[in-house]
Formats: sequence, C-alpha cells, structure tokens
Amino acid sequence: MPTIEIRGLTKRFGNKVVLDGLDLTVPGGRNTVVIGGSGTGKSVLLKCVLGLLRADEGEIRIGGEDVMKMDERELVRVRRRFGMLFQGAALFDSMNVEDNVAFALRRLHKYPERQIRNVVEEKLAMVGLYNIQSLMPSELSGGMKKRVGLARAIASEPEILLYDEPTTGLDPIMADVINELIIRLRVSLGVTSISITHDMKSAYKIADHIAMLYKGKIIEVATAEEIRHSTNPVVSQFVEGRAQGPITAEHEEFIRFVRRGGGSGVQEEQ
Amino acid sequence: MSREAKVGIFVILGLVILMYFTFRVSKWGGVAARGYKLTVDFESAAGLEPKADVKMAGVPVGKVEEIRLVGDRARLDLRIDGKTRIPVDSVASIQTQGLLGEKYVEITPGKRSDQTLPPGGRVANTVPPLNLDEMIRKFSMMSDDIKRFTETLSGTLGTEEGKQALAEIIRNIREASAVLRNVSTANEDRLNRILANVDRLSTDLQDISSVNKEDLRATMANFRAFSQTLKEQTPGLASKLETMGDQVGGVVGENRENIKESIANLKQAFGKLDNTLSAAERVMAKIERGEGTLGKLVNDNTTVGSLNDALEGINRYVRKTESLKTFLDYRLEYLAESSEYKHYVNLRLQPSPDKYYLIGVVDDPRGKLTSQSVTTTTDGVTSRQQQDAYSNKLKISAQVAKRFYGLTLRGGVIESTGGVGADYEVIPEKLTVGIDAFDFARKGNRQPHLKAFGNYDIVKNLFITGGVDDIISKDKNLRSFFFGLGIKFADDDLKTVLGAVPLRP
Amino acid sequence: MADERKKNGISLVLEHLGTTAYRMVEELGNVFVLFLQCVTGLVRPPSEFRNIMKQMEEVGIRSLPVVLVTAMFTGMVLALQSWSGFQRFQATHFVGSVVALSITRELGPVFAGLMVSGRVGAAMAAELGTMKVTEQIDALVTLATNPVKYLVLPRVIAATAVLPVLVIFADFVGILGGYFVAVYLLGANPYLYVNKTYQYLTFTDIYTGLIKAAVFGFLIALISCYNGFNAEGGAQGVGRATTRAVVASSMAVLVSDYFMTSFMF
Ligand SMILES: Nc1ncnc2c1ncn2[C@@H]1O[C@H](COP(=O)(O)OP(=O)(O)OP(=O)(O)O)[C@@H](O)[C@H]1O
Ligand SMILES: [Mg+2]
Repeated sequence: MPTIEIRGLTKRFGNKVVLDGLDLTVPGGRNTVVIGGSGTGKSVLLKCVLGLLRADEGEIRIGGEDVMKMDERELVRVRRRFGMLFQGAALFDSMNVEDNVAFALRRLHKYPERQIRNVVEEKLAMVGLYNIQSLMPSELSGGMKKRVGLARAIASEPEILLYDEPTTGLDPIMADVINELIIRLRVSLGVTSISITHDMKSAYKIADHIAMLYKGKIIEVATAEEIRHSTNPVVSQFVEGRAQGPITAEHEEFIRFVRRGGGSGVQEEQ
Repeated sequence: MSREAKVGIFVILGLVILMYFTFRVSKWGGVAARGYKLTVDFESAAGLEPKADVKMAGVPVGKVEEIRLVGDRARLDLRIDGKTRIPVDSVASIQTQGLLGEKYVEITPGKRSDQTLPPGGRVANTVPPLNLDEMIRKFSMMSDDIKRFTETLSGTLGTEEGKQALAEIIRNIREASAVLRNVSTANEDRLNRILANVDRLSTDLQDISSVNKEDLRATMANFRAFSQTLKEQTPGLASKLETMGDQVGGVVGENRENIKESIANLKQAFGKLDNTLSAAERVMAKIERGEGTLGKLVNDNTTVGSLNDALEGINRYVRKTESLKTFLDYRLEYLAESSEYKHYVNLRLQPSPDKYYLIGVVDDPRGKLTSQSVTTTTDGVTSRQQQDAYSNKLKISAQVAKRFYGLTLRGGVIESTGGVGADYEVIPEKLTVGIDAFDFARKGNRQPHLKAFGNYDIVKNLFITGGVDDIISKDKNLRSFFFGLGIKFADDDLKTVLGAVPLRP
Repeated sequence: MADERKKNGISLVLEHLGTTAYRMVEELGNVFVLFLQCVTGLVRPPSEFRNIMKQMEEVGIRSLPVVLVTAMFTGMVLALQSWSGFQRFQATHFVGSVVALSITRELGPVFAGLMVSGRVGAAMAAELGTMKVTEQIDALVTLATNPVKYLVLPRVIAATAVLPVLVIFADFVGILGGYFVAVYLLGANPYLYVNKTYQYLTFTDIYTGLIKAAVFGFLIALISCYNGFNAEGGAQGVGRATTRAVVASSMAVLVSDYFMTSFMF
C-alpha cells in the first residue's frame, strides 16, 4: 500500500501563508488523523495532496511519485487511486443519490450496468442508508449528505482515502458506525487514509497516528496514546479542548469578552 | 419518451424543414420535379429572372430554370409541369405582370393540340418581347402621322376639285376590282398547275433527312420573321402612305387622266401580287397542315418521335456499357469509447447515377461477443458478474442502393447481418449524412445496431467521417463517437493508377 | 491611494485602459485554452454521449418556444414594416423576398443566438458557478473525471450542433409569420407571396445562416462555461459570473456576426 510523504509543503493565498514548509509521512495501510484549529489549513492540505490545489513549494510523494511534478494527464491516473470525502459532501445536486454514488463506477466502466445497482445499494448500506437511491441531494439532511458523500468516495474501492471531517454533523451512534467503517476499510482492504477531524473521541478510535497542524506546520506526530499525554502545551490544549493556553493566547481579548458577557461554553467555530 | 428520442425527433424535424427549404430554393422551385424541360430562344430576356413563372392562358404551368446566352440570343430552359401538354405550334412571349410588374413567359397555345412538344423540345415560335419605351415612341409617331394624314386628307377633300377627284378614284377602284376579279379567275388554272408542281417537287424531296428539316423550319421561321417585319413596319408604311397621299393630292388636279390609268395599272399589279401571295400562302398552309409528302416530313411528329426513340435507345445502350462506374474506397474509423479502430473496404458498382451495388469487407474489433459469468466473494458478499469480451472479426456487407434526388436508400447485408440505411446529400458532392440500422437480432437482448454518420469530402479522393456508433445501445461502452479518414477512387482514378503500374507477368 | 491622487488624470485613464485591455487579452487567452482542453477531451474516452443528449435537450428543445415566438414576431414585424415602406413605390410584391432573406441570412440566427445566450448562457454559468463554489467540480476531479470534458465539452458540442437546428425552425416560423401578416392582414396575394419568398432565396442564404448559428452556439457555450468555471466566492460570485456570461456571449454573437458577414459571405 502506498505511503504518502510530504516534504516542505508551502501554500499561500495572496500573501497569506496557510501551509508553511509542512512535513508529514503517512504510512501505507495506516490511518493518519490530522487535527488542528479551524482555518489552519487542513482542508487545503488534502486538496494539495490530490492536486486540486497547486502548492507553491515542496514535494508530495505518493508511492514514490512526486505529484507536484506531474502534468494534468498523470494526475488523472494518480487520482484514480484516491477517494475523497469533502467537508461539505459536495454531492452533485443535479443527480439523485444513486447516480452520485455510481458516478465513478459508470465513468470507469468498472461494472456492467446491472451490477452497479447492487454495488450502490451495498455501499449505501455500509454507511447506514437504505432506500434513498432516488432522492435528490436537496432532500437529504446534512448528516445524510455526509454519508452519501462517504459512500461515493468508497464506491470505486480506492487505495487511498481522504476523509474531511467524516463524523461532523452525525449523531453519536451514527458517528461510531462511520468510525467502525473507516477501521474496517483499513483492516480488511488495507486502505491508506488521512482523516481530518475535530472530534477527539473519534480521532482516538480510528487513528494509527495523529498529527497536529499548527501555524502551517505539523508540530507533532504520534500514536493516539502518546498524543493524549503529550507534553507539548499546544497539543495538550487542543486535545483537552481547553479555552486557555498557547493557542488562544492571541485571543485573550475574545476570551475575556466571552467570560464577561457570561456566554456559555463557547467553541470558536468558523 | 426517452431524452434521446426527443432530441432525435427535434433534429429530424429540423432536417425535414431544411430538406423542404433546399427543395423550394432549388432549380425546380415549386414545380413537381417530374416535369419536363423545354427550351425557347428570345432576342432578349431583359428583366426576366430564373424561377420566373411560365404561364399558359395566365395559369402557371412551370418555371424558368435557367437563362443563358447561346450565340447572340437568350436561351431559356423551361421546366414544365408534367401534366401540361404544349402544342407544337404554340407561341412563347415574355410578358409583364401589370405595367411595371415582374416578367414572365407566356405560352399562347397553338391549335395543334393533337401534337404536343416532347420533353427537351423547343418552342419555335416566339414574339419578341415588347419594349415599353419603343412602343410608346412608335405610338406617338404613329399618332403624329395619322394626324398629319387626316389633316392633308381633309385639306384635299375639302375643295370641290378634291371631291370630284375622290369620286373618280372611287370609280376607278370599282373598275380595278372588277379587273382583279377577272385576272384571278383567268389564272386559276395556272395556279392550280403551279401547286401541282410544287406538290410533285415535294415528292422528290422524300429522302430529305431530319437534318434538312431544321433548314425548312428555319425557312418557315424566316418567312414568319418577314411577315413580322411587315407588321412592325406598319407605322412606317403609314407615313409613306401619307406622303403618297400628299403627292396624289397635288397631282390629281392636273393629271387626272394619267393618274386614272396609273392607278388602274397599279391596282392590277397589286392584284397579281396579291394572287401570287395568296397562292403561296395556300401552299404553305398545305405544308403546315401536313398535306403532301413534304408536309408530312416536316410535320409528322410520329416519324420524328420514332426516330428520336430509336436514337434514344441506342444512346441508352451505349451508355449502359459506358456508364457503369466503379468506385473503391477504404476507410478507417476510430471509436472514441473503446479507443479501437475499425477498417472498411468497399467496392461500389454503379450502372446508372440513381442506382448502385455495394460490396464490402469490415474489420470490426468488437465483432464477436463472448460472455461468461464470474462468481466472486468479497467480505462474505457473493456477487455474480457477467463478463463480456469482444474480439476481432471480419464481416461482409452487400447492399443495393437507389437514389432519389439527394436521398439514397440502401438495403441488404450490413456487417454480416440484414440491414437498411439511408444517406442524404446535404451539400452536393461534399457533405453526406446518413444512418445505418442492422443487426436486429442481436445477442444478449441488445438493441439493434444503429449508426449515424456524416462524410465530408475534403478533396476529391479524401474524405473525413464521423458520427455515433451503436446509438441506442443500452451498454454504455458499446455506444461511441467515432471519427475517421478515408480514401476513395473512381474508375478513372483506378485506370490512371493501373495504367501506371507495369503489368508484366 | 495617495499615490494615485498624485498622478494626473490622463495617465490614470491610460493606466486603466491598459489594464482593462490586458485583462481582456488574458481572458481571451483563457477562453482559448478552455477550447483547446475541450478539443483534447474530444478524443479521450469516454464519450460524453448522455451528457451531450441532456444538453441538446436543454439548449435545443427547451429553448424552442422562446426562439419560435421571437422568430414569429420578427417575421411578422418585418412584413409589416417592409410593406409600409415598399408600398410607397408599389413594390409590395417584394415583401416576401425581403422577409425570407432577412430572416435566413441575419435575423433568424442573431435573434436565436441572443435568446439562447440569455436563456442558456445564464443557466450554464449559474450551474457551473454553483458547482464551482460548492466544491462539486473538485469532487468531479477526485472521481477521475476531467471537469472540462464532462461539463464544458458536452455543452459546447450540444450548443454548436443544436443552434443551427433551432435556426431552421426559426427561419421556417419567421417566414410563416411574415406570410400570415402579409396575406391575412395586409391582403397580399398568397400565391405571389410564396413565389417571391423562394424566388430570390438560395442555398447559400440558408447555409450561411446555419453556419453563423453554429458559431454562435459555440461561442455562447464556451464563454458561459468559462465564466461559470471561474466563479469565485458564494452566491454573489455566481450571480456576477452569470451576468458576465450573458453580457459577454451576447456581445460575442453580435460582434462575430458582423465579422462573419463581412469576411465570409
Ligand atoms: N480558495 C481559497 N482562496 C483564499 N483563501 C483560501 C482558499 N481556501 C482556503 N483559504 C484559506 O486558507 C485557510 C485554511 O483553510 P482550510 O479550509 O484549509 O481550513 P480548515 O483547516 O479545513 O478549517 P475547518 O476545520 O474549519 O474546515 C483559511 O484561512 C482560508 O481562509
Ligand atoms: Mg476544513
């Protein structure tokens, strides 16, 4: 199973540096969870890996091949090995659920048409959805969209899976079903995967390794257990979800304002 | 209704309207294309446009197809409705709708409704188109003349002398006419003899071929032209008459006796001339009526007709061996969906422009279908999968085709199965679109093989092709765009090519 | 800002013109690149047959009512106008010719083009723009699909193929509209009118109109897709892309019409 090696990855938008010489090794057949604050560039990282965004510097090796040096045609070949779940699901809203899930299967002629229905049904069952094939994305709830997006990502059985917040917006039981699914895909099919999550419970459960993204760099990579007991103040503030610490030091003003206003347990979101 | 069907109907409806348009703006315009062609020559076709109407008794019966210069005259090709028969002695003229309206060709039907012009025939009798300006000038000239004439006349006749002179003239005329009567009765025998001679002479002309017939026609046409001139000169004649009247008026008083005599002589001379003329006219009439051998020869359309038929037959026979055309073409098609190539070689035998036979060989990369079931077990889930595989196969085609204007219908064996097809020539000799339907009893319950294509000739021997193969197939990887390139040779090219190849055993 | 105030007015205007011109050239280049991507997409499997059919239905059949009504009224008003003009010199029998020639050569293709750029161009830009801002285009890429080939190519092919068909309908209905007005309202002789309609009309008039239509369809689809593809930001960005698409494609129709008329026909 392919290993993903990222070296010195830099990505800027205008003069705003989002990724700043980031290094990360994602071992083959393992699940690496990337954690980090909102807006630190986790989604950007995944898009760079897929070549959806062109990074400014650095290299991204997938099984030894540098994605950054590839032209569009080679990228197409490489992308066939990937599946990606988008943060906003990104379902095709002009197609129903079945056509969404079956999309890659039909494009790649992976199965004869009569077989595709069964595959779609099977993949939807894996994410806990039944008999919704003919619904349009606009008729689904946020959590359902997420799961259809996941079913679509795994439908063509890729070797590498990128999950951008797979459990966000799901109820705890369904979140656990998805966690089980991610683990099963890794164990039985040996999928290499990168997951992004804010949900530490889920992270501990599915991760072989956890990497913390902070200020454009990976500041620590370790197993779930090591992360939980990390001595790095930034990491420990994040995994324990404390409002006070080095991450929020820059937001002292904000924290004080919330305290004074008597605002209840605020988590900074978006 | 499926989306494809809707789009198909949409496009086909569009093509139908386009065909209607191309038909309407073509040479035949609104006339049934089955009509036949006639030609007619005019001194001038000024103001006449192609597609102008041809009318008979005011009723449209055809269109002007083409106007071109032959020698120094304008030759019109007329396309006449199939039902309309035009007598041989009809007269064609260019007329104007209203005073300033558009021009059209009017055919004034002749009396010979038993003998009509054959297809390709010529309307020999024409009236030169009236020029409005000239007409008006002539009219004004004539009215001037008439005015002056009547003035002189009244001036002359107003005097006592004039009155007497007039009385005298009248008396003379009476006498002269009496003489005239005598002359004609006396000469009747002789005239009859002349006629008989002419008749005999005409018998001697029995062997004159149809080539000479043209000369005779020309003579008659000249004769008509002469009488035409006579008619046209009438205004001039009037002015001459007027001068004469003047002179007459002047001299009458003095030379009454002399004049009386001269007039009498004149009258006599006129009478003789008149007689001769009327005799000649009678001969002509006889000829035209088809009496006598000459007349028969000139006018017998059945003779001419059968001769034409014979010639036609020979022509057709000669053409048959000569007109068998052979075409050979090779074409390569790239199927975009499967990235495969399909090769075609076709031989086309074309005995006549509206018919051909096609024999061909097709090398089809997806010619043969083998399917087998595969059972796989993943994660405890057992799935059966139908695996289809295609392999190369050589196929043959043999078709008969018939052409109706731009549309060619084909049928026979297409790629080793029964099939039909149709082609439509959108731009003559350049762009052809078509559709093939075959393989109706396909394996695995598949839809018939439907292929739509367009061929475009870049240069004479090179064409490109493109379209959609297997349009209605439910299997998505069977349906495919294709495009390709072909070369083709007509037999002339082949002769050249073969001629260049040294054929030594 | 302070810097700009120091510059005199003329150099500011020139600078503005310069950047505008530069942007236009750059955009033209981008549109051309998009076209080249379409061409390469054309030769790669899979064929986008289904998509093309879908777009043909969208561009062709769905636009038919608008185009037909426009063409009908164009023909009618043409007949009315030319009748009142030609009446002054007793040439009303040429109304049929004028209507047929104007419709087939010019008005049929141009009005159909403008209608389609309003209706379809906006729809294409909005749809692609929305897909862009909701990451659906990224999703396509991850599903081993080239978005240009999947989204742009079918639209361009469909519009190029279908616009001539629409124009055939427009020609027919426009001529029919002129006929109705001339014959039933103005009392023209029906036989003469039809006769005149087709007398001066040639293959070339019809085909040149259809070629124009194909070019219009091509430009409308390409420009609209380009604008949709480059939508930035949320709903507002999509709105802006849509407006730009309609304005640019309508202008492209009129400008290319002039050049085609002057160069080719
Ligand atoms: N296309 C873009 N243009 C400009 N800036 C962008 C773009 N995409 C992302 N950014 C910026 O990059 C930064 C990182 O964005 P990203 O979406 O990766 O955050 P994230 O870590 O995924 O956050 P979250 O956990 O909220 O999803 C953000 O500050 C965002 O403003
Ligand atoms: Mg994110």
